[in-house]
Amino acid sequence: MREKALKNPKGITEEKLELAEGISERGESLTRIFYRRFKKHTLGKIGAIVLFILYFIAIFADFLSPFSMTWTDKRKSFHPPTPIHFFYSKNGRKIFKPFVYEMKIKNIAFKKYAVVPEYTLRAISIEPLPEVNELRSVATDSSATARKRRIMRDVSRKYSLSPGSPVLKRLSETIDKLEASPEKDKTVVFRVGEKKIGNREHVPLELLLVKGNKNFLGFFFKGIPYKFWNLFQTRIHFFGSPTGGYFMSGTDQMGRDVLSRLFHGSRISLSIGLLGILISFTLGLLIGGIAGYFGGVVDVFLMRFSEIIMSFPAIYLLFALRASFPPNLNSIQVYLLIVVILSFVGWAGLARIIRGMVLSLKNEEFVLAAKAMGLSHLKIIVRHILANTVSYVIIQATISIPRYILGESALSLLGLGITDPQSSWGLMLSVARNTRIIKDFPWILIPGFFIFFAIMAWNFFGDGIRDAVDPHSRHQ
Amino acid sequence: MKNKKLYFATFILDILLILLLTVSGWNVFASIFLVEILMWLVRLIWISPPLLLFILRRLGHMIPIILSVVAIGFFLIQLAPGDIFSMMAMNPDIKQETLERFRRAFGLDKPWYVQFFKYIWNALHGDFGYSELFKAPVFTLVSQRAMNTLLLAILSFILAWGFSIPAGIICATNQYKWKDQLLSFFAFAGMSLPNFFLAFLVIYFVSVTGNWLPIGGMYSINIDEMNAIGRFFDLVKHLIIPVSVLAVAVTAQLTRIMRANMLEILGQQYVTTARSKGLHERVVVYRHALRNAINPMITIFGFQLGSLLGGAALVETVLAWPGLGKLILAALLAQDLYLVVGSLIYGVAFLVIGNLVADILLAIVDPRVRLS
Repeated sequence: MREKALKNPKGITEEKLELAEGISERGESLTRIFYRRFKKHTLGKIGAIVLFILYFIAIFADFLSPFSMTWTDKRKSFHPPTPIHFFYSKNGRKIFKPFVYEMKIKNIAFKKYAVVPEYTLRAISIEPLPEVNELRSVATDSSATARKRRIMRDVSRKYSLSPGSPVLKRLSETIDKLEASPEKDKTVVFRVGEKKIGNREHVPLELLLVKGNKNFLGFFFKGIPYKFWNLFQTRIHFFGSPTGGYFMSGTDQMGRDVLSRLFHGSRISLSIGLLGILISFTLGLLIGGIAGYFGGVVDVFLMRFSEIIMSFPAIYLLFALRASFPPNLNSIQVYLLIVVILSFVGWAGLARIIRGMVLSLKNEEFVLAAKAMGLSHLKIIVRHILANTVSYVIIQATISIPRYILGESALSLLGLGITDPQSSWGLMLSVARNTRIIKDFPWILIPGFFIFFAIMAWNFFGDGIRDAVDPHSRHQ
Repeated sequence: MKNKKLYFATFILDILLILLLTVSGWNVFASIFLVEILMWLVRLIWISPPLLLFILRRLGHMIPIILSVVAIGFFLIQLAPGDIFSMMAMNPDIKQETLERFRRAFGLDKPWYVQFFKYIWNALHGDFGYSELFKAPVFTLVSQRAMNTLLLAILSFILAWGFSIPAGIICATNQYKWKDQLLSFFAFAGMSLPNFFLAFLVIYFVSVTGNWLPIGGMYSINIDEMNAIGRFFDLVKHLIIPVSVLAVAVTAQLTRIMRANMLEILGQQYVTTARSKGLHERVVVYRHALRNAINPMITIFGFQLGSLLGGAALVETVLAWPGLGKLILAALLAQDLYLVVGSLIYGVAFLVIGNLVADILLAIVDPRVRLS
């Protein structure tokens, strides 16, 4: 009785006492320990945040990009990034209303753009179906009748309207009213008619008539249609202008929005690392495990094979492997092929190290115990031996992902990887192989910065993971 | 040293061989290079027999690797649809018979393993085939391009080592101070910057600031009008961008490794001993710590050669440098079989010999390492 009172003077349970003294029996789980250690690593945390943002962009690329991946306007090739003006002066008062100026090509040879005049009239019709080119008619004529004639002509051509059609008559009236209105910048929605698309009976065909040279920006605007995750169709984009003309990072040689392609390209560029790691580490672990566990002829054969692969300069082997497949594959095949090639080049080094680890592990008593229990070889290798290399594998996986991102962009840059109309960061940079283009249109280098940030973030994150998982390792 | 006279006789043999090669039409520098390597290998009989044995064993080890590289090259090209004459086949002016004759002359009518053994047999006789793409013998073509790549690689290595060793020392001796933080940040950034992208950035910078450096290529157009000194400076100007672009990533990596090595060595007990003896800090760092910290760097040399060659392939293509990487890419795209295999062999030989050189250097620098 006395002893118990001594041990537990104030009625505190034993468990609480132990916790207070820091000798809890229960212990932390491994992941909790890793997480606690990782939180102390500032750079690792920065890396994790940047990676979160990048992968978030990749996942919601459709919604976040102001246009779609394949949206093209041939008259807007190498359109410079449009600066945002935040304040709009209305009746002499400045109000907060962000907008960009609509620009038109002035010099076709040098791709010089200039802001269109204030009296410009535009007609923008957005098709209700994705991947269908819309009408963007810009009338910059100085006389109002010429402007009207141009718009009417373009609209009637687009919808194949006969000259006497009532729609054109309505359009003419609307344009007159718009031109006569005292406001400098005004947008009206003109309803052309209805269309039957699939099982939807009455899909309105709408036309935006825009007076003035400004495109007002907004969040959650209605832009060109797209299929979100290939599930449902919508026109809502995160940020941009419903009347177009807003290119935050310019356009490329074919007049495609760089930002949208950048966002869509991140899907390929960022996922290739994860998928590649998955395949090459499975290969490396299995081959290294088998070579180390069985030894003998199997070991010699597998290790010689990995030696041969390692004695190639990696890029040369990548080139040779890619060139040995037909060039005209479709986009999914190319994507998978690149993943497989990158993984095939990447497994050898890991397999050799894993083999070394397995050699030292396979004579341990727990392996003997597993053997005595009659487990199959594969089960022993995977569940008992390879399970002990987990911390090493986690570290290696995070620090090898940049290699895959780099490999993909290098292949795409040289025209051996992802091809148009798909998008990847390396492919977008391939335009820059022309020196004159870099000088005149430097914004096409933006994808390079994203490659840089992604690799840097993975490096930081990998550093943090290493400190968390293996705090005694040498920091190289 | 036994047979001292014979040893000195080898030096005379040196001069004789160089003269012989030069007279028979070789480049002076190439013959000096070749003869010196060969003769120093011979002289190893007297200097260090175990080292010679080690080198010979490693070179012998190369043979199966080279053979498999050739086989893989043949196999991969065989997998690809079409061959070098596929483009010609689309030309309606060329008759089918002519095409067949071309293919037969190139040896393409036989199965790949027959081509493989024939290639090996010819290669043993010094014939590495003929490149249809460049209309030149593969050996001369590849050797010339490989020398250009080697020039890039060696210069950027010198630059990288020259920068990274002092940088690593500064980082380690000022750990967690602003100098260390700054250099470490640059090292991290340099490691993450893809070299082709860096090349683009440099091109942009140079072309915006008025083209004060040539961006791309190896020679100016008017190279024929220049004298020897003018040509040398022209080459140096053309080297600046590719060498510095390639050196950045290597420098960054080496700086981090050097920093880590130095930190580890500075924590060792013998450094504390040296300090407690009252030695000057400079002596402790440079005499005691530095020499031990450099050893792991040499081991990494071999690995880095591989990544440097890979990086060089990209930078060469972007900057139009006539090197091995650019050559192999062109050869692969045109399916020029012998050129592909020839450049693959060269690339692999570079890597293997680079590793060998690293091992030899390590053995020379660190007496604790045994060659076995």
